[in-house]
Amino acid sequence: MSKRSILFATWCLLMTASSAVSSYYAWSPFADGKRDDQAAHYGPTHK
Amino acid sequence: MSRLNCPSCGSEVPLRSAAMPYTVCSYCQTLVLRDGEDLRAIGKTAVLPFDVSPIQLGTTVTPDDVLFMVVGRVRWGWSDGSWNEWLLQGSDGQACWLGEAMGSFMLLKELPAVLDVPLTAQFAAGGALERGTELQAAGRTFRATDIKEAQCLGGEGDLPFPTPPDWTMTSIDFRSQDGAALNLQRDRERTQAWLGGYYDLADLKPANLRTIEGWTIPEAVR
Amino acid sequence: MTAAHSISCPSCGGTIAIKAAGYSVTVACQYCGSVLDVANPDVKVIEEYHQAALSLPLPIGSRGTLFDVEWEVVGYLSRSDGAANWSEYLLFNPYGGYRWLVHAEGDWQYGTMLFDQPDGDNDSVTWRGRRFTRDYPPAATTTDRVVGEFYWRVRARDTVQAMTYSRGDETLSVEWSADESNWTQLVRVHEHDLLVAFGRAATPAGSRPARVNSFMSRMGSRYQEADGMRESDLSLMFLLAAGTSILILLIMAAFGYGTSSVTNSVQITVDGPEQSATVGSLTINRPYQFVTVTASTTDFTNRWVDLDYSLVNRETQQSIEASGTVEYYAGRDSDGNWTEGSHQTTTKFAGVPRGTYDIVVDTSAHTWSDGTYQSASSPWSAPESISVYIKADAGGLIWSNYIALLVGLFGLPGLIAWYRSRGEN
Repeated sequence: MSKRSILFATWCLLMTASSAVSSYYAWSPFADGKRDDQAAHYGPTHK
Repeated sequence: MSRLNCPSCGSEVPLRSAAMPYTVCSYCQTLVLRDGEDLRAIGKTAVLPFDVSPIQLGTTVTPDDVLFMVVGRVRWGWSDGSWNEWLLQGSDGQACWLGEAMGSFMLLKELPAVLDVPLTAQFAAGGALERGTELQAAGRTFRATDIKEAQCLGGEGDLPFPTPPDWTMTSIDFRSQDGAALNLQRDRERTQAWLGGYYDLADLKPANLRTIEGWTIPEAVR
Repeated sequence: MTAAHSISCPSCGGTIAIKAAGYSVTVACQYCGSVLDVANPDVKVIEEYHQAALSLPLPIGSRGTLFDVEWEVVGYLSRSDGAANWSEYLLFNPYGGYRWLVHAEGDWQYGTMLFDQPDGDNDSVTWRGRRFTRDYPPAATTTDRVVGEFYWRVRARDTVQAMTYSRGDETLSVEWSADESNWTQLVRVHEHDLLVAFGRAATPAGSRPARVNSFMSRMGSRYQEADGMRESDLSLMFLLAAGTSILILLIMAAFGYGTSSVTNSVQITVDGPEQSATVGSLTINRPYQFVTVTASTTDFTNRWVDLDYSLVNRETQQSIEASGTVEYYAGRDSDGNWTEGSHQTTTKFAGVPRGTYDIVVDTSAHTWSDGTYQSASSPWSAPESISVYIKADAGGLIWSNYIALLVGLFGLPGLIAWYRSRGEN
């Protein structure tokens, strides 16, 4: 196991952790709709 | 740097070290002895063969932060090759030698204490010393690796001794585990012991190196 | 013209330029192969040969820059030890001393002679704080043929004992005879980079000339420490990347497992008024969840359907918005018939917090005209309508996230593999 491999394994672990975290928070930069924290607007309500 | 006039041919010969009594006139190969104001021609030295040593008279080196200038050279030859020994004059007045062989350098400082060791004393008295013999010096164990019967091939610059062509000596190299070197040189008159360390040209922090046609001085050494 | 001392071969008369003048002791005539003693001014023949000149991948006299220093090939030895044959090239630079290039079984190594000798025994040695393990038992190594100049006495059929110790891509080689032992540190260099450095191979057009370089490019005492990777390291990296990618897929699938689903349908008139409908309500049980909304429609051509979704939190009445479009076009141009689009679209919401949401959709359909089609709704035709079937799921997997992670994982090993394959041409 060279230093390079160990470094890469750590990187893989990082990737796994970020997948878990992003899945937990259901986060994605590619999604169409996101919760908008700043403009907490009130949308259409049921009439 | 002062100059003197060769007593044999009259040419101007540069003098780099006031402390060294002998000088070689590079024009006529005369060995000159300086005795106060007196200049005496005392013989000839052999013409140095062409070589591609990066060191020349006037080169400065700064190993371990002490500045030295190259003031003289002796070239030795043996059955299997030859090498240069450059005389270094320190800014503090100290003198030591820079041995150059096979592209590597060894800084040699006199270590007279080694001569007191019985093994060395015996060698100095004319006895033989075999390859593989171990010697304790400067806190290390040294093992004899090379034994050479060498002959002087000439000299240049300012020197502490004359370099006649018939000058021969026995030189024994010792090496230690950690890369240090010991050298014993015995000629007809006396024996000297030197403690040496290996240096790369870059580690010597040289300046005023010889320019050699067709080669540029590499970055690391400049 | 470079500084050299010229001699003529006493055997064949050829003119030989001695480059390492003052250091070289033996010269093997490049024309006839005779081995000459040049330690003294009078050149003596040690062994006479009448061989044809050798053609070498690195000819005597060729120069190349390795590790920031220019080296000239001054000598060549062909050697064997019963198990293998290989070549050794002696490199020289008056300011740099000597180095070696060893060419064995297609691999090249760059060698530096050591003055601080390693400590150890037959099985392993330690040098400068690094431990090396022995590769094979001592082997009797013979020099079969020589060309060029050397700083020691070389004779054909010279035999020494030799051994190597390795640590990754770094090797320590030792050769000894009754008189002396010599240690050399060897590091691997890529053949292509080497040949290009010596001008013996063309660089790929348009690329920078290859430089053989290491992380520490000081010649001399800072002996090169090759941080190179073995072939097996690259396979390991790919294996790690593959394993991790599967693991990540499982993680994302587990988190994205759908919990509830609602469907509804809306009928809209093309170019008619916007319709609003509630698809249903979804309950998000997890702290955060994706919501995937799929809209599929009945067939149409050259129309597009706008969909504006809102996820309205029942408690807070806050809404999260997203939009999607279903569009399908067809036409004809110089290349023939073409179509674009599809009859369905998926819209994803990210980071939807826990709660119950009503999914509201505002939708409208429009005609697209490039001037060649008539509008669908004319006063005389029945209004065209499109049915939109909407399905909203709590859960889902965002594939773009996954692909981004795959790139992160396979990017580095892939780049290395590609760079290598380029270099080994």
